[in-house]
Amino acid sequence: MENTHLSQAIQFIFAGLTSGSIYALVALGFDIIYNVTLVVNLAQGEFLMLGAMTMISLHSGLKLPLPLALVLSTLIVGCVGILFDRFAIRPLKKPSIMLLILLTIGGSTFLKGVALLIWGKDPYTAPTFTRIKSISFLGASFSPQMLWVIGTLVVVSFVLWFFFGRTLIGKAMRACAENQRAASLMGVDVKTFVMISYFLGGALGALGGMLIAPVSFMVYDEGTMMGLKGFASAVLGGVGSYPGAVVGGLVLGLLESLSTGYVSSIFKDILAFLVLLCILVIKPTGLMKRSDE
Amino acid sequence: MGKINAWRFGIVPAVLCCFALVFCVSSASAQKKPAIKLGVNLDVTGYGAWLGEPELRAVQLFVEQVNARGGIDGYPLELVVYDNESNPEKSSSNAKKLIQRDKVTAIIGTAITATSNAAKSVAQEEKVVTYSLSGSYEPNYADSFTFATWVHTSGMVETIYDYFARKGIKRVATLCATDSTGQTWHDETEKSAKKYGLEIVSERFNVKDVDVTAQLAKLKATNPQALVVGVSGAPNAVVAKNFNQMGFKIPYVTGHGNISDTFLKLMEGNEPETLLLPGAYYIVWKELPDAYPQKKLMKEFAEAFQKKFKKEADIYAVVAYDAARVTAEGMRQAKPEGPKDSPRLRDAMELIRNFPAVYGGTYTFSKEEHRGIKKDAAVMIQVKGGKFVMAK
Repeated sequence: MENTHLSQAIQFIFAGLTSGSIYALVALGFDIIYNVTLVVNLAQGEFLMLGAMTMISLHSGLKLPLPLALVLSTLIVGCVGILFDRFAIRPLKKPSIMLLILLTIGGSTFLKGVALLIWGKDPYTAPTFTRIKSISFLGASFSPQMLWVIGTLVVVSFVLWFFFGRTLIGKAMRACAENQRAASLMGVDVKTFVMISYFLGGALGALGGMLIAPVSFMVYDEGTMMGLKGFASAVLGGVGSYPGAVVGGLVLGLLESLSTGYVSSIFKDILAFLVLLCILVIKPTGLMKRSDE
Repeated sequence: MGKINAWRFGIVPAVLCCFALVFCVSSASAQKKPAIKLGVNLDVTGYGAWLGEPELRAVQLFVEQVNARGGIDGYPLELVVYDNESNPEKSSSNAKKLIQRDKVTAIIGTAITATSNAAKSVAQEEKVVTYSLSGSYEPNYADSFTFATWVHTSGMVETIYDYFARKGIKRVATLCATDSTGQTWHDETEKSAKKYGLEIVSERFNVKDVDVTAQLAKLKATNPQALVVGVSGAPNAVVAKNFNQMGFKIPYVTGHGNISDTFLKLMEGNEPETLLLPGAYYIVWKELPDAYPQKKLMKEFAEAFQKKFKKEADIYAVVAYDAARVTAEGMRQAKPEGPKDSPRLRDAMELIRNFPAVYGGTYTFSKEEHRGIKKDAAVMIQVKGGKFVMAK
């Protein structure tokens, strides 16, 4: 009996880590765009949906090899991010933050509409990246796709840490985040970095979508819920904090699966968001952000 | 002056001729019986279009067939069709237009629950028979003028439990969604379990979940002999993938809302070893023995539909065809002349007994029972090699 308890616990934790990693990837995309532009991009979930749909079309439709489909979809959705900035955000002469956020909602509806026209209302799914059916670990069994999801989050976190901490471009982007005016006075081309941030936001969203498509399914309006969960994760971790996004995503994912496992599956979303509310009441800046910022 | 006279001389015979013509035509049609008007209020466009379109075709086919056979006891059937665009407001205004302006005797429609509920108040107010084709519409209430097709979810659950009884399955796990379809499945599976003496453990999930392994792990610990998944459509892909990956070998049973090609495509490559669902006998009509009483009806309908529309008739076309058949049977008894006779039509329809259904089984109506079709119209269906076949 002891053994069943252990294997159940492991099953719950892995389930939480999988959804949590996806939430974290979406949250990272939020944070990158927020840090450079102060815009909360509510179309982030649609980038995830676009990534998954493009990958499925390229891989299952056009029969491109998987790695090529993955790279191409990431680039394509990154470019959608750039276009989003270029045609929806930048034309505004005197943007207020509120107006920009409303614009991203419009953008999200627009992207959903385009996806509906291209892919219709049918749900799509993709084969797992590796052919192995399932992996057993101490009596718990999980899809090999979980390792891809968690592994990708680890790699992405490391790359982002290196990019923002060690490279000049990354440092310049951080400078934009601190103070756009000062950064531009120092010779940083803010417009280019806003563009880069939208590219990264789109690409990260696409990554999340492509990783989740094989374990789940994708429909044109599937991104919205993911976007919300990702946004909640970003808030939970502290908006703008990259470690916060990762921790926030994983905590939200684990909260969901553990409340399903140990309390009741009906209360899953209620409990997860209740804890989120409590944390924000106790520590309004989020888990990983210093309160003096 | 002369010119006008000539004109006048020309016009008089012309007018006379016209009168003569009209007289001839009207005396000819006086010998024919007046048409009985049947209204159609369907979701031909909008998001219910995938249901409304085949349903409209089936009704058109039926009216054509009836009139080719000389109508209903000599009264030709006339169809008046309005599209409600899957919009509840449009559905209720269509119903009003059909009754008040077009004077129809009965209305077939609508395809989805939201538009059916909108048309219900008009049906009750005007006292005109309205035949909903939506699976989850509830037609049984006091002084109801609405009818509905499809075997209710409770009948479908009993079909599943009958199958379990045959297979000696006693411990059942259910995983139902938290949306309205899932809620119905959750309630009905719990309710009937007592009657069948089944041990039941249940979990719930959100249709937007990307992982249900936590729920499945809890269910697995109770060592169930079958899993019932109460959800329609895409979320089945998530559950099935997790189900396979956790090494379940027990039968995977899901709802009748999944009988579609989209579902087959979605499950391709992810099918559990035994994938079952309850559904109408019509789905597997080709496999039925010739002794099955409705097989001939099913075959005739399927072939006529195929011939006219160059398309296979799905189950949605079947329910619309059945609704039109039942209504016409009522008209044969009541001989209604307009909306004012619709209460008489309803009473006649409530007297219909053991009327063979293309769906499978038979329709037997009463004052309290406006669905008329029971679980004997349903059968367990298995997905094998990307096709729906009868479960052994």
